[in-house]
Amino acid sequence: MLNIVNPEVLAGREEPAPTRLWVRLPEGRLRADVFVPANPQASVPPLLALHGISRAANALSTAFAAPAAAAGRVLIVPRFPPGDWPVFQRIGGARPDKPLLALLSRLQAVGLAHTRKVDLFGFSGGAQLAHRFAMLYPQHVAALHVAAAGWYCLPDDSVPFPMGLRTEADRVTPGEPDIAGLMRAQLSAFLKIPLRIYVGEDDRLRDPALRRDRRIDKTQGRDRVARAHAFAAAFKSAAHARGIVPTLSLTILPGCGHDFPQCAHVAGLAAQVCGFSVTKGDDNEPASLRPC
Amino acid sequence: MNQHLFARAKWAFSTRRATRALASDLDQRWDEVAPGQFILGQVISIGQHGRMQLASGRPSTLYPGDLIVMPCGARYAPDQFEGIAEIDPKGCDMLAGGGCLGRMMHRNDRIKPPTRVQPLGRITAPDGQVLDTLNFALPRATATPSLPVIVVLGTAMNSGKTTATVALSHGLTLAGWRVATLKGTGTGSFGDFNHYLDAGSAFVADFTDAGMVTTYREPLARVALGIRDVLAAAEDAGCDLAVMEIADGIFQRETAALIADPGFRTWASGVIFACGDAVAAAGGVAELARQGVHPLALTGLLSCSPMASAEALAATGVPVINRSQLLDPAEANRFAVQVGAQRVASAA
Repeated sequence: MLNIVNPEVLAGREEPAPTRLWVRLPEGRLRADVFVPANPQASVPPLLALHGISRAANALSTAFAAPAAAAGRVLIVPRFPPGDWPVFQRIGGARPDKPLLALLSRLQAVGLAHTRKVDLFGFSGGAQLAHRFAMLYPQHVAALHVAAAGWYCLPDDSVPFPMGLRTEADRVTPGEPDIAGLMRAQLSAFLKIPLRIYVGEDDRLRDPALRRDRRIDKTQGRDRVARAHAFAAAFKSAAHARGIVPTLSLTILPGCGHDFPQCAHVAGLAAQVCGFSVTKGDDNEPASLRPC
Repeated sequence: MNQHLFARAKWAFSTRRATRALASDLDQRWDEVAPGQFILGQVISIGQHGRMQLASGRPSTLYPGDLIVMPCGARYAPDQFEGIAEIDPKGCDMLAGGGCLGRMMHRNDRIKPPTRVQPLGRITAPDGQVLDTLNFALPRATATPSLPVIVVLGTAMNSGKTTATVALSHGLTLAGWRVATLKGTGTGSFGDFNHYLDAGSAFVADFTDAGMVTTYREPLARVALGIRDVLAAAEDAGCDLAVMEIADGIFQRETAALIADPGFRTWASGVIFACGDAVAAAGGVAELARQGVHPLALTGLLSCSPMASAEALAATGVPVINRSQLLDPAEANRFAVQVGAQRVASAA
């Protein structure tokens, strides 16, 4: 299912060389580079960083390797091959959650990282997958960082899936999982995850990569900034409705558009993500945030 | 002087926890025989069980003259035998291939008579005590385990309980949980045990680990203590939750007593019910409701048929989930949250 091949050394870096792994499942393959720092800190969850539709996993590695290493944090950067995963942002017909789970399981099994809980980051399409993964498997996520998602699955069961969590019977294929129903079952646990939302202040273009859909425009807004606010508001509202005090922030990245390297270099996005970690503990312990 | 006999003998799976070096001598006080005591026997004739299950986890073909070590025990298996824990010095019956010698009382018409065994003696330790499954059991739990437990019940043997137990354990493991897969009642056998291991479960145990070769005819208090012991061991092993199969149908004596026991509702966090058709589903759900138990889902042979599943859903209001759904980590994860599973921080 998964092979470990020779480590690749990224030339000119002081950060640890990554170990490259492949997960092979019937659903498709997944490649991952894993950076294990010289002095990994057991109290700091690994960071799983998901690329967007440009699949620029190397850009994530470049940005996150140094701050992750400095924090003693294992960095895991998967890449979904386009041939296997023409769509990986959503969980439904395609199941990108399965290779991610298999990857985390194998990293735990081979002792490369303690992956029972990870901090989960995604940019753009990766942010879409990140929050959907967390909605299905909240027990796996210590903290969730979503940056510049094009649109969201709102934690709101009055909004039809996939924009929200209301199951529309005519859209559930017999034999296929009712993903909205499964997410509703996990909703309370999801709303307890510390959530950090990021978006560039100039990320307001309705570019070709942005999902343009009247229903999304209506429920989430017309651009990524508006949609980030809509997600934050929906998260907060759903948490309060369940008596949960959300741990939530929305950070506008100054001088940034829809460009991960720019967000990383200009606004220090990677450093911000690595600047917080949830103290390792039982699920029922209140999440405490501290610099790592 | 009997060491060579013990060394030559095939030790059954239900003796797997035994320290064989303790086997020292034999006694023939057959009137004192009790369930769980180790018997050295010699196969007289091959009947229903042409093979036995070895402690090493593989089957072994039996031949007349083979020396075997099996505990004395009772058996309740409607598609095979009902038997009791008695040893006739002239010859006894192999009631289960996993390791259970006794006296057959009833036999299903469709199967052969039991394999016959000449008992040679009860196996004793150097101090003269008869070796017993209880000698090698897990330590008695000192506290009540708090591990969430999904209990798999069914209408009868072969209703799909093991399939559901294994599939759910695998799905939960894929979802990243440390799963204990346990069998709370039944007769010692490696079939289910090995299926549980194959599912990738982090911890596997059954009532034999709690010192019982079978739970049939055991007092409810002992069966309940055994369940507590294996749950405590699973908790000590760092598991997040347990999936526990209960043998036979809900009308079987020990199973019925277990469900009726008020304690059941304190340790069983959720129930999945396996059955073969919609009528069985309706009857099972109604019977469980009578005991205050409301299944989270129906599964089993029923779930192979979309039409039967729809009938069952309409009749009971309980969702039907099939094997492929239980294997799906997202579907399985729903059960984890329904029973309140929490990540164990200290687990590696």
